[in-house]
Amino acid sequence: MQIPKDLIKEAEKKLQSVKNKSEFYNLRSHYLGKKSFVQNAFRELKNLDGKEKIKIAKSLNHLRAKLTDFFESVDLKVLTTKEEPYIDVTLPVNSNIGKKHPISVVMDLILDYFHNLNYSSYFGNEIESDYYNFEALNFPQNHPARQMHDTFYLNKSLNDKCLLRTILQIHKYI
Amino acid sequence: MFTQVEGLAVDQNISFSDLKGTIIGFIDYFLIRV
Repeated sequence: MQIPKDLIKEAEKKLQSVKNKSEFYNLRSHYLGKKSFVQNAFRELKNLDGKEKIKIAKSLNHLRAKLTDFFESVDLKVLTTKEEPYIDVTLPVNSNIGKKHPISVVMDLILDYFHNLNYSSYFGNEIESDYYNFEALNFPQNHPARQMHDTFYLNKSLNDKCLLRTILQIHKYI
Repeated sequence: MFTQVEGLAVDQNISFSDLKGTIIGFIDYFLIRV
C-alpha cells in the first residue's frame, strides 16, 4: 500500500481557496474524516501481515498526527474575516437627506459671525476630569451635582479625565 | 441640555467699548437680521 507523500502540501494548497468555516470543515473531513485516505488505510491495515503492518501503521500514525496538527494550527478567525472596504465615518457629508439639528444650525450661525471677525473657535472636551469640572470651581465634595445621578462617570480614565462634562466652560485657555 | 458660547479677546489697548461693539454687532446679526 502506498502512502502519498505530498498529502500535506496538497492540503495546504487547498486551504488557500477556503473562504468560510464550512469549507474549512469540509476540507478537514476530506483529510481526516470517515472517508479520508487515512481512515481507509487504517481499515485496510488488517489485511496486511507482520512487519509490513507495523511499518505502515507507524507511518500512517505519523501522517495522521501531522495532518491533525496542520488543521489545528489554522487560525479560523484570520481565515474567515473578510476584508471590508474601509469607510471613514467621520467625513463630513453633503447630503439632501435629513436636516441639521436646530442647535447645530444656531451654533453654526454664531460661529460664522465670529469667524468673520477673525476669531477662531474651539470646542471643549466632552470628557473632562473631576478636578477641572468640579474642584477647580469649588464644588464641595458631597454636592449633588457630583453624584452618580447627575454626572456621568467613566470606568476608565484617559489621562486623568474620567467624567462626562457637565459644565461647559471647562477648557484651558491658550 | 444647555449649550453656551464664550468669547475671549486678548490684545493691547482693548477696552470695554470693544466688548460693547462686539456684543451689539452680534445681536444685530443674530436677532435682528431680516
